Amino acid sequence: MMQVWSGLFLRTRNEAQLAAVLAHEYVHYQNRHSLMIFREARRRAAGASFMAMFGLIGLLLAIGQISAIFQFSREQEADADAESVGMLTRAGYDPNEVPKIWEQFRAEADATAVARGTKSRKDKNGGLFASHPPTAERVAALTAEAKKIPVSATWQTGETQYRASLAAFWPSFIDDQVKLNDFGGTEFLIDYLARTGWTPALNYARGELYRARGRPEDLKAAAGFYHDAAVAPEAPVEAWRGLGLSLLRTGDQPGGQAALKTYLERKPDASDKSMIAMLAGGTQ
Amino acid sequence: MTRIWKLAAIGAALGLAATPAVAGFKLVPKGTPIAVAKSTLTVTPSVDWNRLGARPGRNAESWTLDGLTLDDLTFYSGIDNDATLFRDARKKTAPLPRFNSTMLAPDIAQLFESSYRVSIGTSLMSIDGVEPATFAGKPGFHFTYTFVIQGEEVRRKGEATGAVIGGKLYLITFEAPVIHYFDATRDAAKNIVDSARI
Repeated sequence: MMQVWSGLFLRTRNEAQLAAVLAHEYVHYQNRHSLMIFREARRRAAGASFMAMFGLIGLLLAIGQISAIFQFSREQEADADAESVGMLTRAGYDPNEVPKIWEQFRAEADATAVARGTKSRKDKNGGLFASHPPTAERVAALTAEAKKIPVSATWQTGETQYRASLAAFWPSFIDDQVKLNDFGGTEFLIDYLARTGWTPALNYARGELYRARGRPEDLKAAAGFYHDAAVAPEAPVEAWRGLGLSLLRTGDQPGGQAALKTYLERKPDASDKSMIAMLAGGTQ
Repeated sequence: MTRIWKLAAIGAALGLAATPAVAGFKLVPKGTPIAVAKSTLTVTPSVDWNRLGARPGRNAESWTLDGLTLDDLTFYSGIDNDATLFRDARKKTAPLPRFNSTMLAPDIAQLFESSYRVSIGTSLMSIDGVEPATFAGKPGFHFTYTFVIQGEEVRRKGEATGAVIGGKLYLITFEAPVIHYFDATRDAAKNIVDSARI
């Protein structure tokens, strides 16, 4: 069974990239990789448990046997990568999009780390027990694989179709992402979606992100983003809610209450209406 | 698949037999006022409860009637500015959001939702309504929520009542599976919330 999580749609930027991920997983299925891993594990497990009986040295040998299973799994990953590039090309997509997925992941990991003040985890893959090759190596291998294929003028990335098909889902995917408490990564993803212009929905999302982090300067910035969103006629009504809550927290009570009243006027059946009504200074 | 192998491999390599963590429970007798989470928050249970020895966080404590997965009453008592609701177990890879004294009721509901989403790895969680309420005699808030833990199919429902008092967050949550347990235990939990004093 192949499961696609909604977070993937925020991270792949066109049909070619999404197709590459699906193709990679399909190769695992087609080449019966999980069955082979099972056989390999069974073959080595007997030896490993036998050796583990002989003190520390035996234990080290056993760990060696087990890490070999993971080495085997890393090789399968490389196989799936290589075959998926060919599969993608046959479907008419640009194979040069494949390494970009990993470059994007690495850039996102960097953005997350910068905002958290930690070291980027882009090269973390689990060491001895890693099941996936390090991503830098992977980008290089995929780039080389894509370069082997003669360039064709008919290759497509399917970006326009991808954006059109997913437009209706962005708000809920971004909402999920904002709640992950990953400021840097989320801002990186929103910025990418906004590269063709800040729509009211994206400004609202940016407001939600900044308000959730909630530092005094974030709340000011959030109020600005919500304001930019709210002035547009197609803005989500929740922009008024966010604007009101941010202004109240920065100490602008009249401005905050006015914005919350606007929210309630436009969404009289809001699930939090009695609380918002109280914060807006009115009676229910 | 790969994670299971990884765990199995580590377990086998270390030659460890799986021993479940021993969860110690203490009886909380009915009718006696008791201070919770090593704080000044005091409640009086109307039925006997079981207090879990391992606390979910420095300022938190959990009680249950039938076991935590079936009904879970958790007290968050005196969460400071810039503190997390419960233990920041995966601080490096998945840090929890932090409470801020300036937060308004809707912000606290969002903080709670975000903390849950990060800690149980689910995107199936929603806050279903936020309203004003009285908590320990102070103006506070009440909200309800539903969620499904990643990899489970059990739908759970919960409600939270709390207030920010002196810049610190006080919150009591009750959650249980939608099927049978939520309705069966809700009154006992509500009695505790109503009896809260600081």
